[in-house]
Amino acid sequence: MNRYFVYLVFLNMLVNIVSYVPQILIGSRFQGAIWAILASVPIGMLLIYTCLKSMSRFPRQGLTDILDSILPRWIGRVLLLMSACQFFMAGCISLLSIADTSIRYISPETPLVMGIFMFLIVICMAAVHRTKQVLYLVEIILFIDVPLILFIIVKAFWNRSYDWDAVATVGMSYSALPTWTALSAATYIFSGYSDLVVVHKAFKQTPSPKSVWLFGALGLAILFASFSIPIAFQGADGVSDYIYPWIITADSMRVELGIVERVLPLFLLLYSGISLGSIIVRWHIASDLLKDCLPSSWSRKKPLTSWIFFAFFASVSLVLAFFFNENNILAVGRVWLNFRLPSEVLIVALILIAARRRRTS
Amino acid sequence: MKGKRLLVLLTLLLAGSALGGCGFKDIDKRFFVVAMSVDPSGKEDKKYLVTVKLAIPSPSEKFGSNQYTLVSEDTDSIAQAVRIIKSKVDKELDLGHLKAIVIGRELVEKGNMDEVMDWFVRRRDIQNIAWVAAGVPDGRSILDLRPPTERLPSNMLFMSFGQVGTETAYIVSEYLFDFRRRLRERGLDPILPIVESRGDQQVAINKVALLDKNKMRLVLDPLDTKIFNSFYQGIGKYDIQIRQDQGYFIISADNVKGSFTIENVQGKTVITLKPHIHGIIEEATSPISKTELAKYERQAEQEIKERALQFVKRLQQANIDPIGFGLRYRARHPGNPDHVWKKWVELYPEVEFRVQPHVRLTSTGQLG
Repeated sequence: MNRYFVYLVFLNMLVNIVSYVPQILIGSRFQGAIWAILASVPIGMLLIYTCLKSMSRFPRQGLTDILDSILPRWIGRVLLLMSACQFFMAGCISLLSIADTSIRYISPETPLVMGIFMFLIVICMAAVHRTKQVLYLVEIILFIDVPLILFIIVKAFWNRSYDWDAVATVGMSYSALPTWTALSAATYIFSGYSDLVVVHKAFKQTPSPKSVWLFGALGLAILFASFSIPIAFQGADGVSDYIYPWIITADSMRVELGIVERVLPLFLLLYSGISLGSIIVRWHIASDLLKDCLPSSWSRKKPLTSWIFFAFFASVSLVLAFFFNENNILAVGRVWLNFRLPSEVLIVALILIAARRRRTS
Repeated sequence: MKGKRLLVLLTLLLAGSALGGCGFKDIDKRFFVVAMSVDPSGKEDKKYLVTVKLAIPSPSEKFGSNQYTLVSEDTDSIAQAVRIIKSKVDKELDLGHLKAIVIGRELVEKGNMDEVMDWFVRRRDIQNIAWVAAGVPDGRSILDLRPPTERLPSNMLFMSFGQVGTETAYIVSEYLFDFRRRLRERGLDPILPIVESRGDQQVAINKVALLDKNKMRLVLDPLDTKIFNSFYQGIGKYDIQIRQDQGYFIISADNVKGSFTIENVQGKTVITLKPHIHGIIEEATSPISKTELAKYERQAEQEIKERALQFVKRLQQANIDPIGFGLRYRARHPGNPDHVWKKWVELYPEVEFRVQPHVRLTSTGQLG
């Protein structure tokens, strides 16, 4: 099994907290969030399985090559562009979210644009590297952050303030059917596999589809933690009052014997790392997909090409940061999540069709 | 190539610094607010008397180095008060170290706690793990204590509530976020420990105020506070006095954990309380026989049963629910949360309580 694939999926699972997934699920906790969470596991597993199984017929190829094998070139380019937009927006929303929270809680006097600019420097300089190097970076980030994040999560479940009754109260509305937004938010957890559209080119071997069970279990556990911990701490009724329920919850834990009594600074630091890693991966993929859309006369190898793309990404992010505040960003995140699920299904379906055609031919 | 990259980085950093200055203030230009109190205002046209306790740093940390200054302001809103207080001092107020919020008893009796707490929850820089308490006679006089045993201002409160120093079942501690949760949660009512100034710069914390969603309804005396605490914190170092013949004996329990179940028995909702007590006998007025521990256990169970029943019946009569029976009911009954809640509101006054205590004594202490 390819460990870098596991890292990518896992990174995406962890980063859900800054991508407004808990907010959306908590918002609909009495209106179908339970079903959304339960339904997302088989949907996610099915998508991962299909993608891995089909991709294994195209060793060391990316989405571009796969699409070219079944579709006319220009339709393929349109789809690639759409996919690149998805990846760019995914990174952009995480960026706006983490920049907004870190500025609000670490240095409130700094203007948002300034904070985002600082993040952008790091992101662009890392994302411009080759795919393999980006993967190494992800590995390092996870190795540093995951033990401490696990510590916070375990600490939360052991905490006296973790109220199982509040969680069970929410669980009692299991009969409500999920909304589309809730379902999209819940399935987001599993969407780390879609990084394969580019990363597959760097893999010698397609990861084995047998690992899908691991992802199903892991995803369910992380989804449960990210949904239930804020509810257990802030109450079934009161939790939706908060704009950032997870930040408030991290601040509600006390480590008596830690270096710092409050968990919040540690949490923000860890999540800055996790979201930086995730944004770097997403933008790296987005720029790579865009490169494939260029006319063939343009050389891929030119280093300037990537920089132009990243400059473009950065300026769009800054413009968005300039025009949006925390509420609008949440709305943008919601719309983006709604579009993500169908476009992901479409891409996976196309890959599946391509794989079948290759087998028959 | 490398030099070029470095140049790019430097240019970017320079460009970044041009984006805006920072509002950083040095530590010598800040006042740290360690505790805050809200009382009803003495003036007729104003609502609150807000007091902040500003720590004065001392060069060495020793007993009695708890210098502070209090600044008060009468206003209609807490936010306004803090702004005006800023104009009365020469340094920037830093609320990041605010760890105790004392609300005057009168204000808790008057009610509208949601409005009082709003500012504390809304501010991003106030810790959610700050302790909330009710102050007797009022909040300001609790802040204005200068016990010679303190190393830092207000540290006495922090040590007591944090159960870092003293560990006792009489102290109930309530975090800001938990108070807020209880104000909003249907089926779990807010509580506030009562901090009483007892003269000589000392305090006593052994009572707890029970609130409905708005104001104070009941004050528990120390004995009931202890019973409540077994359901709330499940704290150790617990003592229980059991009457025996003409005298009594005292159980010292390492851990008391109260749990309860809600069942439907023949159309009637029954709540069964199950306190589990493991302990030893610490004091007795008449000789105690080691061989008759089982007998003492039964005696203790009988007495605990009576007391716990009395306690929950009081809660039921006042129609408040600090233990969370309602929340448990909601957690066991599927369906629309509003309907479930309505049903519970009708049910609660008629609920039947039962107590099934389980006492295990392991020793009679050093005397056999």
